[in-house]
Amino acid sequence: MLRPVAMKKIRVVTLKEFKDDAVKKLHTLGVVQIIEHEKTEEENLKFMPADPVLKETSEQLRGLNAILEVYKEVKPEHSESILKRFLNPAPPKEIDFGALKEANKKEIIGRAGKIRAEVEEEIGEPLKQYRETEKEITGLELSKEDLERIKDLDIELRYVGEGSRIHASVGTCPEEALDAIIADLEEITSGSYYFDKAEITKEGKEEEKEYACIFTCFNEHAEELSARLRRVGFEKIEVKGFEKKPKEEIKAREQKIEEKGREREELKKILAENAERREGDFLTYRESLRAIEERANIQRNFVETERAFSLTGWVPAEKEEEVLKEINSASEGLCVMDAVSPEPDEEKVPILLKNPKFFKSFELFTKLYGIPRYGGIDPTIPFTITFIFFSAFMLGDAIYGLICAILGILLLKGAGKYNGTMKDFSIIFISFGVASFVMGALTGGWLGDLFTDRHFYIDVLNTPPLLIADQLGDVLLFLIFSIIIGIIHINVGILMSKYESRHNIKDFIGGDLWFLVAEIGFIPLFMNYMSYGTWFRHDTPCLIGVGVLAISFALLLFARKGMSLFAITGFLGDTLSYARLMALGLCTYGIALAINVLAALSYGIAYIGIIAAALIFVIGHLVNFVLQVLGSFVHGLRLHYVEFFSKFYITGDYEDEYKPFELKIKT
Amino acid sequence: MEPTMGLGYAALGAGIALGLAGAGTAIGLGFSGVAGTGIISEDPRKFGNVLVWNALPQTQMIYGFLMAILIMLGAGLLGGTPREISDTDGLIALGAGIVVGVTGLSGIGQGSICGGGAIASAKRPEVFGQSLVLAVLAETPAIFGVVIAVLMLLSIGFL
Amino acid sequence: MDVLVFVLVAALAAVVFFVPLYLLRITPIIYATAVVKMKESRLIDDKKYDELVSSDLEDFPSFFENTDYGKYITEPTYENIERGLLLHEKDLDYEIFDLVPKDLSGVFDYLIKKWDVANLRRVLGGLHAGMPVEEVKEGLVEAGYMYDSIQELSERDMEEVVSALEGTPYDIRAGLEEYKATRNFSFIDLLLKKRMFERVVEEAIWSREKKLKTFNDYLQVLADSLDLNAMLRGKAGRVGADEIRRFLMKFDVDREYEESKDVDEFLVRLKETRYSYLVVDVGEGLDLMELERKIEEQVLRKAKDISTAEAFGLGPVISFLAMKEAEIRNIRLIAKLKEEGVSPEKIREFLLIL
Repeated sequence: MLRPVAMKKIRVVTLKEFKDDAVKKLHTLGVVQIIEHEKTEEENLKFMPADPVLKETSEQLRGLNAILEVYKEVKPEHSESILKRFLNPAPPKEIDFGALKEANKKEIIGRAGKIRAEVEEEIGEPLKQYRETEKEITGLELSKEDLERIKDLDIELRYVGEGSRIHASVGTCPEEALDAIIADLEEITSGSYYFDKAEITKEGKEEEKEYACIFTCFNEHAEELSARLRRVGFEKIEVKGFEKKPKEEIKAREQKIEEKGREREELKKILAENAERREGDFLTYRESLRAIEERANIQRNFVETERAFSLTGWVPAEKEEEVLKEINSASEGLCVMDAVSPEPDEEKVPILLKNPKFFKSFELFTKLYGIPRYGGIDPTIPFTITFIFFSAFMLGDAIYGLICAILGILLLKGAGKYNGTMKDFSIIFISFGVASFVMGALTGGWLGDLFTDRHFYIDVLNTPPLLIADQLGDVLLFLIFSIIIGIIHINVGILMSKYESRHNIKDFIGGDLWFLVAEIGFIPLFMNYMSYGTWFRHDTPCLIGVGVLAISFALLLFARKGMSLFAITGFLGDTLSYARLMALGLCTYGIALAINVLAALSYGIAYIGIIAAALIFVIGHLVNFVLQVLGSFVHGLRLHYVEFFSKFYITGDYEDEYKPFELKIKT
Repeated sequence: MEPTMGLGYAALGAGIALGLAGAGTAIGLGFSGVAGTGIISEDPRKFGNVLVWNALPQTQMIYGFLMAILIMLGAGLLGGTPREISDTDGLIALGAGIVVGVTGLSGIGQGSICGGGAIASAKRPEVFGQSLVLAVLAETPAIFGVVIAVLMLLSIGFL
Repeated sequence: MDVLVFVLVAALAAVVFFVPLYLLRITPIIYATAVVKMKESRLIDDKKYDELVSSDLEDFPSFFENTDYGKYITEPTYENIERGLLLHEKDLDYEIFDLVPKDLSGVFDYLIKKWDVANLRRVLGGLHAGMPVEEVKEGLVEAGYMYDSIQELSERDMEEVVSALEGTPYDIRAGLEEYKATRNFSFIDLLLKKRMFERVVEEAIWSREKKLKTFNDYLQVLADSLDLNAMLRGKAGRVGADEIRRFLMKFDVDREYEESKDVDEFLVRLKETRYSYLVVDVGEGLDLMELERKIEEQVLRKAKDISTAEAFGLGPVISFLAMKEAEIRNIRLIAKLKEEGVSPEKIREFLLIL
């Protein structure tokens, strides 16, 4: 529980004829992390190549996926709204393998190929036409865009281009280029040209004006003009193939686009109908093929001889027997398996965390910081307890907590049903919400001072035994409480690290032991201060205290040497950091109070007072809620990551996380 | 009771404490926030990581808030009856506020480090812990500031 | 007393106001840095290269499926892969260009102009090799500022194209004569590159931003490598010092150039000049293509070095671009060699790992 799961390294040797069955069983069992077999110098042992069916499987898979992509494209749109996705999502598609479960891989591949060929025949034509229609529509729209720019020119486009004597071009240019264009036209054609322009109306933009223009000239001047005019800013537009005036052509195009659009919808329907019929089967085959592909690939990790093969991997110690059973059943008992525990300093042991159900939801926070080392501490359980406590303390409002808990429950019944991460979040929210409710009740935070000072004074909420301490009134008390909690938390961290290093004298004495000793040394001095008002008196307890302090100083020098001063300031900082527990709690209360004040004030305004007050109240508390919940989470995390984890938690490599060879079904 | 200048100075101190420290945090968050948006534009899954890094520069603001509360408490501005405070005492309270406020500007530096740390740990998750240590070192000035401020408040009986 | 307090508050306000203004100048580049660093983390590492080198061309599409190249490499043929890499590079260049803060976009313009040059090269190269117009057009990449006009140019002949480019930044009339005389495409090629480079340097110098120090260092390296390539080609083609000068940006090794009788001797003498860092591990008897490859490797290495010195700023962006270019180069090389049936061990030798 407080450690990652114990692993064992297993090696299995059996005959090749049982390979398929063994691999299939292991895949389904899904607890072995198969790793590459150690390289060996033996002559007879070679690494197994991938299963020959891999190539065909991959090819079929690609084909299936391509068709599934088409299906996804043509499906009628009915995506769920975000709200619905969280609160009441549709269940994921069930994949029923049916007969395929027992079939062997060659059969499955064969049948997949067949069904694919069938569908390719069915939708081949419509799909081609669909794509063509789409292309046509795009082409039409592009040409329409061009036409739009010159639509204010009132000329028939069939005259544009090269004629027997005269050449005409249309295009656009910015306002500032006009003079240069006219100058060039004058110069090159010596006045034998025609030029006209029409302003392009742009919506709303205040930028430079643009003009659609047309110019005509004699053929001999055409080329030079084109080159010149392009340089000064005339952008030519190709209008080959257009006959009528731009506005008319645009209309014609729009009609055609609509027509083609209708055609496309028809084709889409045909494809969608096919999708409806076939998609289920396709998904099933795809998953089967994926499984085959994974199994075909995994055997590259095995070594083989002529008739036998060996695989090696890691398995959680408690699953060892199950694996043995499966292998035995696959090989009719003709197998050998041995399992060893890892060496003390063995690297690359897979890491799997195992925490009881409730705590498991908080593992994602642990993993965010880093994954535990194999054999090290898994801090999830102590983390969860203090995290909930701290965050709830920092939210400190009963009604906010209640809302959070309700949201959590909604999420649990909604997205949490099918999505593991959502379920984790919902559990986190619920526990956080409930804890905050308790904290808020104990400290008199019900939407700030709504029920304590304002119009809605409720007696029971304001007196002990419910109210232990008032957030605003007993600020110093809260501060001291927070600091004390901080010191305790830090001590827990140090104690955990000392427990871990208990076998290694040097590590035990070093590290942060000096802090624990210093605290012990302080006790008599502190008691003295409480009783007599001064820290030191010449009597035995104080002398002992000073002596212990001296020892702790020596330990500090031993552990940190040059950095000793920074160690002291570091601890000072760590302790002060916990003051944020009180600060954030007070923050929630303070802002809620301010909102209440504002709402009360606006209530007095004539006529709209009640609406204004309601708006301010609701929106204000909503925003405060979001900010404070976020803040509580983040600062709660921060306290653990920086002040707590740094004392004892040593992380491992993310890469070493446990990745078993298992069958995962995607929908 | 007669409102004294001292009370005014104390209030000024409270304002400066949170005002400057808050500015430090805000500017610092500008850096780490920009880096954060850059990261999640490439990989939205890193949001949790980015969120943690954006929490770090907020320490200075919290210290500022804390100091403001303590000063107001000591001056009696929080909870009903403002005390009569001599000019000297008021100025000392002002000093306490200033030291926390100005050291709170360390939030700017910490924000830059957090921006870099967010980028580094998003690229290579192994350096998360180490970058965290670096970022937290930047809080040292603020810590010293709070200590001095508390000592000052103690000396005039605010605490 | 009150005045004192007022002054104090004013001073503090000033501090808060002006200090961040100064720091705010680096904020725009932080976003770009963050994005680029994330992209960097997705570059192919040693282990993946091993995997790629030992798999077949057939497996390329599925190998790249979940990477950034996924939607570009769809078929296991060299043509498809090469085209895919080109398109990917184009999209990336446009993306980085959009990321960079606007006041530096004049400098990073070269990411876009690079494609004008590439397209022009395609057109001119196609004309030189007598490629049919359709084929030339297929090889063009829809990018760059002058794409439309270049598309048109693909239907003309060499003279027309060169005269059309008159007045544009890519005026290569100077090389046309030599080309017509010797039919050596290098003359056109080198001039194109030089022209593009001149524009970039112009922009960078104009900006005069302190931030551009890294970029200017990088430009210097690029300029040196371009000149070096030109000189090597010149030497191999027995071009005189006076003629080759036209194709260079800086020609301060003219004596070494004149006096060496062949490429190998030139290389030896270069190791005494400031170009030594580019030819540092070049041996003897290599042909031009290999030489150019080695020099290109050095440029990429230097680019990565220059920029890892800077944590925020243009450094990471340039460094990333260099690493990406090396990666694309590697993938193309692996694909080509696989098509020719070269063994994985041999292929590994050619890879450039930064």
